[in-house]
Amino acid sequence: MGYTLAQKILAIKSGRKKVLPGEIVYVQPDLILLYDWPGFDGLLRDIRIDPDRIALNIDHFYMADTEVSAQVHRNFREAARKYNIKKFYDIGQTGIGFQLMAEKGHIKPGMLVLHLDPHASTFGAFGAYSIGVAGGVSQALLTGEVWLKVPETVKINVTGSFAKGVTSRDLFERLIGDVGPDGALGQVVQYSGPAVSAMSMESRMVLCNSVQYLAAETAIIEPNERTYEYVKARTSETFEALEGDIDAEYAKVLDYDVSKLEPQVVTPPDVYYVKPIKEVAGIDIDQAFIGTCASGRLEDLKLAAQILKGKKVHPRVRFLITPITPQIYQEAAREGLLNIFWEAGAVIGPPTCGPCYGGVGYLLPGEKCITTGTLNIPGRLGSTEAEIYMGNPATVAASAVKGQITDPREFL
Amino acid sequence: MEDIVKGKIIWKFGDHFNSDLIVGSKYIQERDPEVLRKACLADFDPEFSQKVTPGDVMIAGRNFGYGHPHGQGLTSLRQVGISALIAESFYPVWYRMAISSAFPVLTCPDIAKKADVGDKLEANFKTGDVKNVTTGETIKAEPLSPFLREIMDMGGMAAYIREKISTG
Repeated sequence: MGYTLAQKILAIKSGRKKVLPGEIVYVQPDLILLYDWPGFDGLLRDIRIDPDRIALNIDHFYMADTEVSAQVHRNFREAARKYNIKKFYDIGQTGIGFQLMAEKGHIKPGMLVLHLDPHASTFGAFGAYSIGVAGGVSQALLTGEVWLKVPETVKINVTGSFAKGVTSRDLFERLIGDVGPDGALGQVVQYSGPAVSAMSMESRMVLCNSVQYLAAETAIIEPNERTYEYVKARTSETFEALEGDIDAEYAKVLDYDVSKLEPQVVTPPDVYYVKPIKEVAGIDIDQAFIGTCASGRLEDLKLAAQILKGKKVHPRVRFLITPITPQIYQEAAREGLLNIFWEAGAVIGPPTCGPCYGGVGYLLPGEKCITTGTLNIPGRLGSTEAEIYMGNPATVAASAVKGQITDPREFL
Repeated sequence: MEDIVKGKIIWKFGDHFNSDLIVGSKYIQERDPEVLRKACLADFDPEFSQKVTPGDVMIAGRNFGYGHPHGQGLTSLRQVGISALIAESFYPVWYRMAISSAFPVLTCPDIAKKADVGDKLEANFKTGDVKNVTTGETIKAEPLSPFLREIMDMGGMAAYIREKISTG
């Protein structure tokens, strides 16, 4: 009996020959990530491990907006200095960490990456085992290790090719809609198959970004040439190419043909209320947003620009677009995408998580927003009586133009 | 922690209860325990924090703590005096947070079907037997693993690590 990629990484990082689902093991993460959030700075008061195993960045508050966030930023800076944490990205060099750390070459196949935030699953796109363990990070910063329960792996075998206006986000949303909010409880979601091998690294990151909403431990994709190319272009450090055994045991295998997949929309009141776009098209919106760790990458911005070129944002709609990192911002500028957004009447903001968690873009009672964000729980963006819909960047752009939730395929 | 937790069920959550709804999304940055105590389930019952008798327990359906694992909800449950939360299953990161802060949680696959608000429970964390004293029925839970029990017994992860570091 063989082992999955996840099992192999956990075996190596726990110093064992093999690990089996259900076992509790201590593992040594290669990299521990943290971003600026009230309370997280407290974890940096006492660090007893090699500082090269830590990477910090500012992204939740792109500039401090209160005394609390200003103090969090200061504490991050002071900890970086005190402990000589070289991988610290402060205001001016930073972007959203769930892209930035890969861009900077810190994420490599076969790594074990630890974060407070389960959106860390994003880095499963690189064949890393990357998990959010909440306060479990404190254990790792002090002792260099953390306990984990070895999960089973569910394999999602993806074939076909995406239609225009349909993205890997729609595949993920469809998966939640199909298996439900505990459809992969405590399991690793491994995306495989020709449609995944053909995906860009950006699309893979989006696909892996929010598997926490399946109650999954994390997501993972076996690396291929495209992965190696991305990583080698960004770091000269070596890494081991790992993949699962052919006879590895999966808890379940699900097959998806994406050729007939339509844009999906997450509707209130929670992230698992997923509907095909035709069931919600026509709902008037007041605000639209493209950004967050689930979007704002170059191909997302290109897709939005395709729809927005020569068009105007609906006069009722406030439309904010935030590229995910300074590098993507620059590339978008170079390709003329930002001009298209400005001419359409969108606001272009700095790379930050703010518009996803309610830092900006407050909604009043009765207002509706469509976003590429990651969470739509009532009150996330202001009033608990506002409604948050989530969709792919094409859907958001098309909806911003028409002033109502719109199938982007009308524009493509 | 004690092997047996006894208490009256003060609240029953449905399936996939989102952790942000315990205190409401507006408090995701809040760190003041007193603010969080008052906010506990206030969106559902503004008087809730005053209705809890310390030692009361809560039950839940599947996947309790779903969503984004903000810790404010957990803090508020502790602050109002909830002594244990027994759910049919837990959202993994919420479960991890509970263990790390030594808040008693037990996975009991039939609890929401076999107990209700007002019932008295006796939950044995060692054997996994959850007795519904009101109905007389015993419901089987998954006993807490000895490893996680050790963390709980030391008072949570912070104390556990201090002990590990000091004993090398």
